[in-house]
Amino acid sequence: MEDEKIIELFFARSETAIRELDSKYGKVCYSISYNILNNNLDAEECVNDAYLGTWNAIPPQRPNPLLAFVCKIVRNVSIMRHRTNNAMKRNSSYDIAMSEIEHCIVAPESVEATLEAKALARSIERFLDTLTEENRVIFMRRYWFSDSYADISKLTGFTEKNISVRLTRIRNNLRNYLVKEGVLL
Amino acid sequence: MNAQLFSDAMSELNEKYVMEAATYQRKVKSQTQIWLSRVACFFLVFLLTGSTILTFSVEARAAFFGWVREQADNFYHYFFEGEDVAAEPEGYELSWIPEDCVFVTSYEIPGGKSYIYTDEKDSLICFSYQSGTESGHLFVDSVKAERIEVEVNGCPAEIARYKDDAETDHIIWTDSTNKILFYITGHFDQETFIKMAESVTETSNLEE
Repeated sequence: MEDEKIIELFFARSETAIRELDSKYGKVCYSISYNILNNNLDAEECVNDAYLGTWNAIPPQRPNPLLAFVCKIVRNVSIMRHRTNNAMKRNSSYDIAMSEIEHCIVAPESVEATLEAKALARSIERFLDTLTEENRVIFMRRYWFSDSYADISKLTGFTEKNISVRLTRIRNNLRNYLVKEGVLL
Repeated sequence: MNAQLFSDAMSELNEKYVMEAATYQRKVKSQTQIWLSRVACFFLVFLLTGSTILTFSVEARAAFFGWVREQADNFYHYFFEGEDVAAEPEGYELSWIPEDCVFVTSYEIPGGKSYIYTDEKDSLICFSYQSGTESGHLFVDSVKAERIEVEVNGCPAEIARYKDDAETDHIIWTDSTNKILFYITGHFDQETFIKMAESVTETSNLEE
């Protein structure tokens, strides 16, 4: 079903809206959540919470593209769940990905002590615009979708080793870019 | 900055980046097709015994002794004259590549091997060598390119530069016995080409 029709179902407060949303985007939503939580039950719960969040947001919002809108909600809900979980096991794909980037860009202090996420996001966007399409996709799949190297390899056709090398290069370039922008010292 | 801040920032990214990654479709071409299509100035033809490729008028002939170059219309034809190099060729590799280049893969070619690298702009770099055999031929459409004569470890070499960025520059030379033909393709300046070429070493030396 087309996104516009799914959104119309939301506006009509029809319960089939959630079913259609799940039918079209459930797999990618679950994948994002599972990559973060590494737990089937938690992932399913977060996806359902995200659907509820979508139900509450539409209307009045009329998101376009719908996929990105839903994926963002799933990611945020899953990350919040991950942070409040009592278990401190750091074994999800998300944990590994964040550990990778943290080793590269961690700084005890930034130029501004209260660097906001939104301001950092703008810097990262400017950096992403300097990358090729393939490298940008690889970066996003790793650090937004928290895909494993195997998943990214399957998606892009590059070998896992090539993915690893590209990500190492991209992380180094990101660090240099953030230093140049004055975000990192 | 820590991972949490980075993760929160990633959540704030514009949706277009999410959509691009969510809907990405990989290119369908095989890797070999990609590599050969991008190394635009070279097309390799490996003859099976007894077949001929084409006929052309020979405009000029420059002797590389074992390896010979003939010019025909808009391209050069390199081929080996004399007895096939009997011994198994030593393997050769580049012992120095520019910092942003990354090895991708290698594959056997008749009488030699090719190595593929990429740089940070995803341009392809190829280093190949061929020992002299009847089946080894190389066609290079560099007649109209700017050609610069240089030396690699005292051996004559030629760099070809193209005005069109879609074409790939290259350096080509033989060893001192004129039995091994080497070439490197990529977008490099003269100094880098020569440095790479002079770093070619036998594989057994690299493994020591």
